[in-house]
Amino acid sequence: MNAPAFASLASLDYWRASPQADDLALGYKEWSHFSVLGPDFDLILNLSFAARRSRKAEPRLLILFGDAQDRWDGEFMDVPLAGVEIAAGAADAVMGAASAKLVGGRYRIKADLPRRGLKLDFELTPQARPLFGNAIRLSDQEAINWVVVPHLRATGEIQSGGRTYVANQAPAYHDRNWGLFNWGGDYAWEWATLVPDSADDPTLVYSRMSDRARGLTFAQSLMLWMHGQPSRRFYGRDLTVSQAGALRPLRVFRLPRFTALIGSGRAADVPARLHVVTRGYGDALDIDIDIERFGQIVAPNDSWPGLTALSEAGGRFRAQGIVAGRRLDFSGRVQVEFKHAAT
Amino acid sequence: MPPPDVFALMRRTLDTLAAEAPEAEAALRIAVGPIRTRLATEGWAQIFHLRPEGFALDEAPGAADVEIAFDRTIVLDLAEGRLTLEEALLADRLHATGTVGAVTRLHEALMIYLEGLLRSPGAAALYDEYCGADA
Repeated sequence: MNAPAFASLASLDYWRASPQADDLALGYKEWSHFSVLGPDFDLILNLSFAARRSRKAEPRLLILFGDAQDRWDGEFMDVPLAGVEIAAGAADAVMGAASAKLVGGRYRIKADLPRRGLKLDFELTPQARPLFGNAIRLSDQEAINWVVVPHLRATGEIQSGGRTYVANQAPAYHDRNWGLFNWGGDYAWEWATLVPDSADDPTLVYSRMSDRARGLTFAQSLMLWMHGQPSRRFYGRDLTVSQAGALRPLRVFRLPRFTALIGSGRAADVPARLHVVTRGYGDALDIDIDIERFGQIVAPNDSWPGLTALSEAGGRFRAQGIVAGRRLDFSGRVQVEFKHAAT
Repeated sequence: MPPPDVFALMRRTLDTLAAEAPEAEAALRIAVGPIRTRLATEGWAQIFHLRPEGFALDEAPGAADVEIAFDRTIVLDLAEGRLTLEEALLADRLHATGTVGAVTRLHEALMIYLEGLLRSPGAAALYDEYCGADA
């Protein structure tokens, strides 16, 4: 598949800081995130660093893999600074056994963890124009910045548990976040990328920010890209979001794995369904999201004590409605992230 | 010492906790308090207790408030998320004996220890070393 030319990609998607710097602001965090929504698997690769306890960065590599049979694999590990190659202003990153590079308008992500028998190699071709979200409010004191490449097509394979999973032009997603905020701050979020089965259909990104108790929503939005271009954004009261049911797997896969011992059990506060209804200026879109499976990332809050859980869920969606006079009815893969307090 | 040395792993991670996650280590001291725990695995036993200078895992004389008996392979099964504490108890791979108060207190201490490990970058390398020795 040809790569549409998105000249803004390299000028938007680059590391804002280097983890090698020894004067990072306390609380600074930055990550580059890739999702591949394969025919029979979901994959997340996330390269990050944070100045959590001092002005020096702590780099971390996350690989989370789940297949259609609810078989999970992955690693969430600290990476020594000596094994990290990230330069401020550049798009590429090497972090221990993993790398993510932007070459010729395409991303190449690789990782090899022999101890886990986990190896991946994908090429991701952007299909939609990237967007930049500046200083998105998390709490009274905290904000996050965001560059999103909402729709890519991924080709490659991942080996896990002795099996090889192949993707050929599978839906994929990429974003980058950075800012000064604390895990454990007074905020929570829900975020979803909805990538259509057919590259000709619209791509959607949904987000909702709330306080930690999730009693007060600060902001919510649904963005729509049509033919690769940002075309419509629904805000605030344009959206009504409801949840139904709860996923209760026999066992929740958590990373790092030993955190299964902390609060072990089935309760995870992940709904089985999300329903997003949007209305505004003659446009209307109803989205049904069915969540099929999820894994969890557990990270310590910046201050003692407390933990933050990121539930990474995969499933399918169907969207129906009318936008800009065009009748829409399309389906695709969805990845939803629920960022909640764990303790 | 039983190979690989699960007691050494515990000692070394406690040292790492003190160096890299001092808040967790301080909370662990409060949680453990005067509780003495006998850890027994495959014919080897040590007493885990708190001394003024820090945590100790040794053959200290005297009775224990809690006895934890386990098979050695359980350490990797728990750490790898293949087994929960509840499953380990139900499968008779882990036995906890003591008063409800003492066992509950030890469980709280374990949760603090685990959260401390999350905050201690050096702990992962110690665990990898342990896994390598067990391979």
